[in-house]
Amino acid sequence: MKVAVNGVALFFDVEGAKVRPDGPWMRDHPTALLLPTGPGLDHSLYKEHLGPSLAEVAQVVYLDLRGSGRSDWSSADHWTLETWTDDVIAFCERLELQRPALLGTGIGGAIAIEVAAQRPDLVDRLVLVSTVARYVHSRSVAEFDRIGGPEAGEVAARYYADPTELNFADFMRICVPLYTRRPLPPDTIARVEMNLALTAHWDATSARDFDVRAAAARVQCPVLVLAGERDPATTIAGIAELVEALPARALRYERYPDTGHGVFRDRPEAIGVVGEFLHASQPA
Amino acid sequence: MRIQVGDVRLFFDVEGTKLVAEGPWMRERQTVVLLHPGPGFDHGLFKVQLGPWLSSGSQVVYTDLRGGGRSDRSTPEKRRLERWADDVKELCDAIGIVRPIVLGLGFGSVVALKYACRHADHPAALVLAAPVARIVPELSIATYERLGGPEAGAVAERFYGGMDERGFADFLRVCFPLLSTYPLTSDVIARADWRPEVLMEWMLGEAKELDLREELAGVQAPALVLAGEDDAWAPLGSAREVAELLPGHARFRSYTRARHSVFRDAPEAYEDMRLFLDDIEARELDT
Repeated sequence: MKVAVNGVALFFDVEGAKVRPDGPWMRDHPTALLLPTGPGLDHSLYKEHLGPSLAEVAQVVYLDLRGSGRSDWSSADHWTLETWTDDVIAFCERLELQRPALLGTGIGGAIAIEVAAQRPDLVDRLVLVSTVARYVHSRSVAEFDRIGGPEAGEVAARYYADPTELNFADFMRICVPLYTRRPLPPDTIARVEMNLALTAHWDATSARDFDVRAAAARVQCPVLVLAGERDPATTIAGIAELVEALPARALRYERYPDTGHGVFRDRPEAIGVVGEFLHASQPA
Repeated sequence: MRIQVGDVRLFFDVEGTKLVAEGPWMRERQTVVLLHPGPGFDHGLFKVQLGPWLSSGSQVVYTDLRGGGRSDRSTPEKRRLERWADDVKELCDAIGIVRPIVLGLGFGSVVALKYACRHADHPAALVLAAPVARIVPELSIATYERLGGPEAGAVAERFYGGMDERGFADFLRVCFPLLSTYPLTSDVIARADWRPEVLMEWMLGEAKELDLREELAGVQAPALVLAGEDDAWAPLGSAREVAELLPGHARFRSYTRARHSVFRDAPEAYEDMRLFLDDIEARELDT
């Protein structure tokens, strides 16, 4: 399905009904809007494990952000955190999503933080998976070096400093396989629709200076943070920094040893933690 | 979810994804839009059996037609077939559903027919369960009498003759239970979010002059017509008339002892539907 917001058509897909028969009731289930790990990736990675499992306890809404997958790609000047935040807000309003939980991985998590900070009325709770408030590339380079050896560290350093196509190809070959303990199956990779132009543009522009710490401090809703301790892309140091910026009042922080980026691939049991969090009653 | 369509916000719910992971592909599945009986009922009864069954092979979109369920009530002059039919098309357009299979039951199949007449190239196919092109009171009254005895016949006669609230209450008590072979449980009744006044308004108004017989020649989509031989709302003769008036390519199946709740009463309807949906999928892939 597609819906028009802010002048673009956004692709979304849905798994699990919102309203389900339960004895004499038609019972509303929570809505979980999944914001893809970005930038430039579509929603398909979520369809492998997370979405189908969560759909048992919630209505899962998958979204391709502007610039990726089956949504309009728009143009490079719109591939920013601000635009994606505005798009998600407009998307929730246009479809009258009833206070969804926003679950984001990587940049998806940063967008979720911005939406919750700007529109607390729209968001019920946040699940931030492998999300940092800002990129500190030296942290990632050190992790690639530690996990993959000196070549991985050098390739990462070269790419971050100069995200050209050539350096990107090396990064994809040497560094991306280090993101998770369990490798991504070839079929899973083949299913992803990638906008590499967006990835390169992002890495050359906003990736260098975005910082959602101020927004994180304004988040009022309950937050679940899931982190892998062996994640070179969003390092545990970076995630700890985000956790520090978030209000402690309704925060749950789960870190998994020997776990890479995206968490769920290496730790399928984390999906159960999310399901439980979606149904936990809100603190008074 | 709800979305603005013209002057109303329409509720819709979804079961099953459009794209499923399959080996190296994200495979696209068909979308089936379900139109509930009524008017004034909601989509809820589809969620027990039909929707979940369909969602194993396709994406299912439930909606509450204007005037019912969680959609806006709208106003009497807009609770008419043309508007309901256009709502279906505009809902699809607003949420990017392209070439849907539109499935209606009872009143929902009348909306589906009107929609397919007015927007002939929009649907990929129609599944019409218990449809009518017009309401023929004598056929319905005779069926109620056959199933429920003289009292049911008399109550139905008053209902179709132009009922008041008392007659409507009698109809609900005596005739309504005859529309299915299984008893309506208290759970089913408790879950229904319905507006009897919307049903009354339509039965006393537009239903009396309803006649789609000439228009049906303009339907282009292939159709499957499913009929219960003991259906008092859409008597066998009326459902068959629809199949015969559809141009050339309607498939007609009728089931003995099945009433208005065709799918509940005739499990073999699912097998017929499966074959039809497979044919439609092959046909759509060809074009």
